[in-house]
Amino acid sequence: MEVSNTYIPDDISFSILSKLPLKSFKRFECVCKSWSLLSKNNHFMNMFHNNLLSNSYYDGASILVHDKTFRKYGLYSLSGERFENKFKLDFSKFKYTKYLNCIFGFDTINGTLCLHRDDDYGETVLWNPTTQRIKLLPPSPVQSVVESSVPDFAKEFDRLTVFYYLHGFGYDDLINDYKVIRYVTVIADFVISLDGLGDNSLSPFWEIYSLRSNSWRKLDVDMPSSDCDVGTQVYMDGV
Amino acid sequence: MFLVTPIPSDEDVCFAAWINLVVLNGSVALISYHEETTTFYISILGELGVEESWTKLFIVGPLSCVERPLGVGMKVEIFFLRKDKELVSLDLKTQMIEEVGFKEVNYIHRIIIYKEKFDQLDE
Repeated sequence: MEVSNTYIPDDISFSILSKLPLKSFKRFECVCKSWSLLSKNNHFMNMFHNNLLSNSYYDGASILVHDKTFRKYGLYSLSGERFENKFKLDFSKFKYTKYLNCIFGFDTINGTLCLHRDDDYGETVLWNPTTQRIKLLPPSPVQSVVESSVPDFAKEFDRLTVFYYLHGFGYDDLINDYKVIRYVTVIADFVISLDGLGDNSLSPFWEIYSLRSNSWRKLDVDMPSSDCDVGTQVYMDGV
Repeated sequence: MFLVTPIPSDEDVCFAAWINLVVLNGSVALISYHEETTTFYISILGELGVEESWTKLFIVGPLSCVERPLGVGMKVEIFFLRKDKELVSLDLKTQMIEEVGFKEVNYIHRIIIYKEKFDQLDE
């Protein structure tokens, strides 16, 4: 090949390609034959893997281990190259220890954890262990939402059983606002209904909380609810 | 805006005993653990909303010492409870397993990545 000043040796271009996000790399595969074969090249894929693992989104973080073993119970922070720095978090002033069983997601947002009680009755708190700030989220206006969706023949119900399933905790950096999304299911026992006292499930819905307005509002989206356990969720750049 | 991205439909993920999502170099990655083969699989999502854009990048295993996977660390180490009741981390780069100082663990709930920050959370 003729050497010109626009020519870039393969090893340099491969090194650059190995640093790309997967999406861009896939797009560049169609540039030429040697690039299209890169994903079959073990040496290149090793480079690609190593770059992928080196470029951590979580730099400077520590991990929290929630050890529930008898006599050692606590939330421990581990940091350092080999996790040699270990200390127990002080939550003597923390009133919501019952919520520690259900920490939402597997990382924090701006140092803030989202916790909820391990029943499905919806009590949720945001907690920053560094600043010890705690915010208990207000109850949702589910009552009024349900009242507007009760069928005409049964304007009264004597008991509502509401379950909340936390689905998302995020941060909007444009307006500096924290949000929580959950799925709400409602079972209502109507006083008057066609077949007497019956058990009636009303349509479930989504609601979103905003810390700025400190309130919940109903979300009109059609979204499948996930039946995943807490802890499988991920958070990235406000999503 | 909400977007649904189906998880990969291959059996490594569908029949996984444990799955976890993490961020790897700006992409969403899915880590799954298959109990029968005692193997971890890591797939990267190329494009949000596109099921076909999942690419399987790592396969780690078989690891017969795994009792229960618990979470993922900052450098994408996989933390799991070993059969001898010790908490260990598995480095994906070196594939080495290291102890992290929790022995005789009966129950560890979860591992969470925690980044300290003084935020403006209102009282």
